[in-house]
Amino acid sequence: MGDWKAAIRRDKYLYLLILPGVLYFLMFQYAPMWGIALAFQDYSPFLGFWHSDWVGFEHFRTFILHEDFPILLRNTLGINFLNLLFFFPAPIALAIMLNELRSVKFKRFVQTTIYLPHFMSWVVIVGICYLILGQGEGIINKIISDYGGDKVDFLTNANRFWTMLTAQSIWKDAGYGTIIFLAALTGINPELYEAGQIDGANRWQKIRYITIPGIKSTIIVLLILRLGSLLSVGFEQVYLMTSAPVASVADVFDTYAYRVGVQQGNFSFATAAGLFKSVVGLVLVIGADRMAKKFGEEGVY
Amino acid sequence: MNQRWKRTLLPFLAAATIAVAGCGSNEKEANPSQSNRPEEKAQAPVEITVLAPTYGESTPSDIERIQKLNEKLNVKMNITFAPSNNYQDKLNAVLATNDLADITVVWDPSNHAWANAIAQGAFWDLTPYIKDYPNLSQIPESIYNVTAINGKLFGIPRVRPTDGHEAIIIRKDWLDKLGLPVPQTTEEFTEVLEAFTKNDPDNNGKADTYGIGASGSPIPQTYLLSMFNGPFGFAPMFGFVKDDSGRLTPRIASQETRDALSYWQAQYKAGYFAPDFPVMKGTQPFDLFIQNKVGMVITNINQVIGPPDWQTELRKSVPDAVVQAIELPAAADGKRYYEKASGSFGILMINKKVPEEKLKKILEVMDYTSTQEGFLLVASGIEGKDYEVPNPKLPLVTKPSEAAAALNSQHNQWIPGYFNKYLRAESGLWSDEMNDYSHQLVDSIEKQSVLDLSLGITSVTWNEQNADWSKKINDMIVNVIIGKNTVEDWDQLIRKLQSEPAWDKIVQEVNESYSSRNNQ
Repeated sequence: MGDWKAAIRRDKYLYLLILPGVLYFLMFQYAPMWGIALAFQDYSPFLGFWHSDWVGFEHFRTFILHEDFPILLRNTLGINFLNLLFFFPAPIALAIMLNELRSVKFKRFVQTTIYLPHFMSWVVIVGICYLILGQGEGIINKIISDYGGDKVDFLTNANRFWTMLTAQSIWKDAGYGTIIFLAALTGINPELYEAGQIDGANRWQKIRYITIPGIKSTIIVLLILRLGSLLSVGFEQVYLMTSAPVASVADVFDTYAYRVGVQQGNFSFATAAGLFKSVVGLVLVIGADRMAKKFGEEGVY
Repeated sequence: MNQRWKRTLLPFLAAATIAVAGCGSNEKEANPSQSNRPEEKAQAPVEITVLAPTYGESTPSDIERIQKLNEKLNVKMNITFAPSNNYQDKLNAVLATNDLADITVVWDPSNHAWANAIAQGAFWDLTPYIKDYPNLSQIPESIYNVTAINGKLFGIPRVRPTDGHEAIIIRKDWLDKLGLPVPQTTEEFTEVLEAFTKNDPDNNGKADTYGIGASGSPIPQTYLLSMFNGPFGFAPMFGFVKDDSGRLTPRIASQETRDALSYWQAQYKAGYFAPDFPVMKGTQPFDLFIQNKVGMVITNINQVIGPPDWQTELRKSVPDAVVQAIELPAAADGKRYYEKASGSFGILMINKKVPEEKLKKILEVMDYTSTQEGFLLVASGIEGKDYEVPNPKLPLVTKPSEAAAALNSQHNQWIPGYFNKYLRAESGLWSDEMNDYSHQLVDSIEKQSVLDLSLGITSVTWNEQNADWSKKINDMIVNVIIGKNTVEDWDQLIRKLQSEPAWDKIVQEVNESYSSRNNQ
């Protein structure tokens, strides 16, 4: 008892220093969590938080049994698996390639260029996409038809929609994603490369046996965290790219929650849908973490 | 020790100071009236607060035109503007916190939260008062009918013209070049579509033009269906028609809607639509028109005055281009179908907390600002200083001075406005003949246009289904037109919606409200 009092007294300035951070988390991260209770209520703004009817798991049941649920699940998982397969490895490959560059000037130049798209909003990126891929005035289709090809319906073909989203994500964020891997790469002991050199390893072998194992734990941590958002798709991007012809493959949990929750004013239902996503995400993160530990990796916590 | 303490705390102190300073300046701004006006007149002016949307910046309430209004009516207007792009959120916030101004501009009083507040008596029922105000009682009965909620008037409508928002804007020079008459029937309209697409009206030797430019995102242009069928899209469940038994039935389930879809599907398949129809948004087809790519678009009669002015822009590359507004073609039954607009956009609702004496003063302000004089004063400012009237025959078409232009898009938001049925059909840039022609066009449309029977009726069940069903219906319309889905898929969607309990409930609610409205 007296121990922690003494400990606080001893380090009181340190505690004072973290106080704003703790307060921030209490006020803005933990306190609003009580709002989750909305998911179990039939919330009405007029009755308010304390007087709305308690309905238990009713909203979850309607959500999961809803006829659109399988389509929403398919689209969400489809988009995310494509992202996992192509978008997740992209920054790793880029970082390794950057790491192999010997001209510092050129490396800096490439880095700056590929970071740039990250700072553009989705509105701009989708706008650019429409401009260059449209069938009327789009430059790509102009080129195709000038060479005698048939115009391609990039924007309105449901079969290409998921690929389109993944390609956009890669273009926007793969460059920026390299930062964390480049940081991990600097942590690899240069002696290992020198030893490899003496043993006669070529570049490819050095990447294969030194670089990749060196950043493996970083990759795994990021992959585990990434699994946590397996049921979330960037709302802005999908919402902006949606049009009638692709609607059947573009409706995901987030757009559905927006439509039902915000546009139709059914707050409880939207909260339930959001909570469902988070719970699934949490289960996935914990599961993946256990798996990683089983295979002898460090895991997240 | 002391030094270290200071170093730790300094950033927080700085942050706290900034925060306190921020609060202080806000307070000062919030109460300018107390400090600025110590002297009181014999009878103190009535202070009236207003919440209104702004499409530009928010302007102060002490500019010259408002001061003139204040003096004339012995009031003190205090108008708060909120940005239009999240105005609905702002409205919901003031309602939830019970922080209502005396006058509130409400875009959609049938919105769930507002319908509740009205039912709970948060606003004045203005029905018995209107007759005492000569100008307010001049507003056409039909506009009040659509604005009323369960037969009671909870706000003064912000009036808008009822006709002139749908006409075909056509390249008259293309028509003449190809030797075609102005299309009067659907067959002639189809011929024009074909000729504009295939017969190289721009004489460049390539078939690179299109009959019509239309937008399909985020929702398809409603005119595509309304021109075969009557008003479509703006009432509960896209609107209702009377069947033989006198009962209202949803228009989406009608044979005419189905026919319209298969008509447009055929035209799209033939290539008469400008490409990218499903992803094109509101004004994008207009750009194609100005670029000499499409021959027809359907929009407001005076949309062409821009900016940019369509004809002037076109003539930069095509010196003999002629842009003209014409009537929609007649449908298969030989009738032209126009939708009549509700005649208002949003209503001005008055807080029930306002005492009756003040209510009368507020209505006096509303009454004055719905006259031509009052409307021009608040919306345009002072003649000669803030604006000029380029054509004395059109006193309502004003040309603002540069300084006044920025203010105009805001102060016209909180007044009922003067009802000018030609608002969408006149321009200071046009010749007298052009304005006369457009006026006649509006007169002709006005005789033929019909108001959707269910417009202004609130269906609780529809409000619950609206976002989800509208998306399904709108997506299907676009997909049928572009041929991704068949007309049979449309039938199937309608059958599926019909099989849901909500369908019958909506139809029942609309019919009940309709008959109770008509029995009053």
